[in-house]
Amino acid sequence: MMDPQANRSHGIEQAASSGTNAKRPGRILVVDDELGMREGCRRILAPEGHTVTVAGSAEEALAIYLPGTQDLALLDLRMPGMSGIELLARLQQLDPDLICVMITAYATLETAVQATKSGAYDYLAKPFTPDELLLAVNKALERHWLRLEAAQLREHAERSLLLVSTEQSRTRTIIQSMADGLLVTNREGNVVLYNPSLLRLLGIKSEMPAPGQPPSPDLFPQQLLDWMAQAWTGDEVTMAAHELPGGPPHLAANIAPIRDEAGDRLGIVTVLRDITELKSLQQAMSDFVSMVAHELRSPLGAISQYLDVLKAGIVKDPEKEKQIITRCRERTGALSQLVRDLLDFSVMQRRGQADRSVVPLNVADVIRETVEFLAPQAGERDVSVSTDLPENLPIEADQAEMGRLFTNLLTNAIKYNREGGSVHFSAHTTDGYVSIEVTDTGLGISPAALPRLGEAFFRVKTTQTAQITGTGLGLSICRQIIAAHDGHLEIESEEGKGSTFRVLLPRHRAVG
Amino acid sequence: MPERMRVLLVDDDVDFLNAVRLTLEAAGYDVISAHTGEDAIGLLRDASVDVAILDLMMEEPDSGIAVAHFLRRQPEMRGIPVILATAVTEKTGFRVSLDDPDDRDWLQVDAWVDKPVDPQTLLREVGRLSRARQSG
Repeated sequence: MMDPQANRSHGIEQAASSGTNAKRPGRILVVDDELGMREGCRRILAPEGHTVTVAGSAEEALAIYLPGTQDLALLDLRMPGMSGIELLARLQQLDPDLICVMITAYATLETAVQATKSGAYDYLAKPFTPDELLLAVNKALERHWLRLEAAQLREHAERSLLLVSTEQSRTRTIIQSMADGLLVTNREGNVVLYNPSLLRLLGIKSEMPAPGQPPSPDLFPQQLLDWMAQAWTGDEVTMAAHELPGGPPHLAANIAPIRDEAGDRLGIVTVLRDITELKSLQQAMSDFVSMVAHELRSPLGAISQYLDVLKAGIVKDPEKEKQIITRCRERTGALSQLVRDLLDFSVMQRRGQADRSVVPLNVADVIRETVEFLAPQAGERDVSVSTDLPENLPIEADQAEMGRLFTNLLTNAIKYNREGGSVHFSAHTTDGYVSIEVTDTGLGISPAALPRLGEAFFRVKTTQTAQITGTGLGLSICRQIIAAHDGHLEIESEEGKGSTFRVLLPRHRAVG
Repeated sequence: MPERMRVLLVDDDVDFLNAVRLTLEAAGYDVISAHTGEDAIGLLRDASVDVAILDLMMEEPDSGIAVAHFLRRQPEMRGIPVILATAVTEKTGFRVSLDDPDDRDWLQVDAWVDKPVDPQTLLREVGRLSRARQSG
């Protein structure tokens, strides 16, 4: 049965085939009703390393066939019962990866065409030499491996595509979630991308023009469109944000050309940011500076006016002159205090909890020291200061800030008191808090002014307070210190009778 | 000797008010003064004045403007010249000019001086306006 020619051609085929699949053994199913044919095939194929399974009929083959367990099927075309063609159809249905070669005793063009039309890869005419069989088997297997490889490659490519589209979808999700508005236009100036924040910030309620159209002046501020046009034609790229007129919301736009590797412009990317918060901070800062300027100008104006009077020689009475100089001195003293308070105020604003050294301390001692320190000031105004404090009043607080708190409260109680009036400190402990009361016999505060007390620079203005110098920051600093210690300030007041300032401070600082 | 002119002076700064009072008194004027617009209006109900010098006092609801408007509403006081003295302009971002007819209309004042005010300038303005009132 050996055929030198077939052998040679087999050799050529092997040499021609490249890659690692050429000699890879396969799992081969042989279905033939002739026992000799089945066993012949096995004897030829098994020594080549192939695993051979045999079946004597189509029915038997179907009964034992498990998809994915065979690489190649050699099917006899004509068998009693189910024919090879029908078996071919059934097997291909079961296992699309299986490659089939038909064996036919009547090798005509017609049968060959019929077999390949039915999905067979090749056919082999009986009788065949072992080499012819091996040649056909190797060729089919080679094809089979290639198909599998192609399928794997395809699967890999599909996985990569999936990854790419996942990445795209992730980027899209990020852009959709951005708080900043994003608009991308192309070379033609048409919209190619935008996100929901853009619509929200610009207050666009209607539908955006579909991508591919230019941003309409009906929907976009003209100023923004002008800047975009400038960014496209301009040579310079500015990274500074332009602030759009109007608002709130106050918007800043960053506009930059998108360039390719060669530096050519592909489009414009515009990012809109809501700067309303920033603007209100700027406004608060500007208001604060204005208030400081105002607070500085009043005493400076008064001092300056007095100096003009002295310089013009208007005042002849030396006693009056002395009074003016004394008042000037007092007003400059108040200015110095204002500067000190401003520094305190700024420190309080900047200070975080980390900057405080919260320690266990006896707040009764702090109050007693404060009273002692301010005794001369009280004496000047003929105000008596008394205390009714427990020996020990332990809290956890920042020592310096407690000193500042009670100094400010006592200073106010002395300043806004009547001549010969009194200030009284009392304290008691209540569930988790220490309550300290400062009661004065002073001017009192009108119900209208009470809620504004503690606002920076707010001062109660009456004929009586007009003479009293103050910065309007003292109580504001008190409030900040109390808040920083998780405390609470209560004020009770009756005009003409006096006020009580009640400070509640927690005895222990909450952890964290 | 002619009757002494009386000037109403309204300012919330006690020292500024005192300094201007000394200046005017030394020049021979009678001065009545108030720290608030409300007090000023109270004074005007009982006393007649020849010139009013008012602080703008923007933070008060009864500002110098309110006093100026009060004067303009009283038939017997309508002609009293008003000088507005103020340094408060930036605080409210508020800028006015007597050259602007609308501003003049709103302010209802005759002259405007910046604080602190030069004593000579103040006396010149007060003199000019009080003479104009007398002759008018």
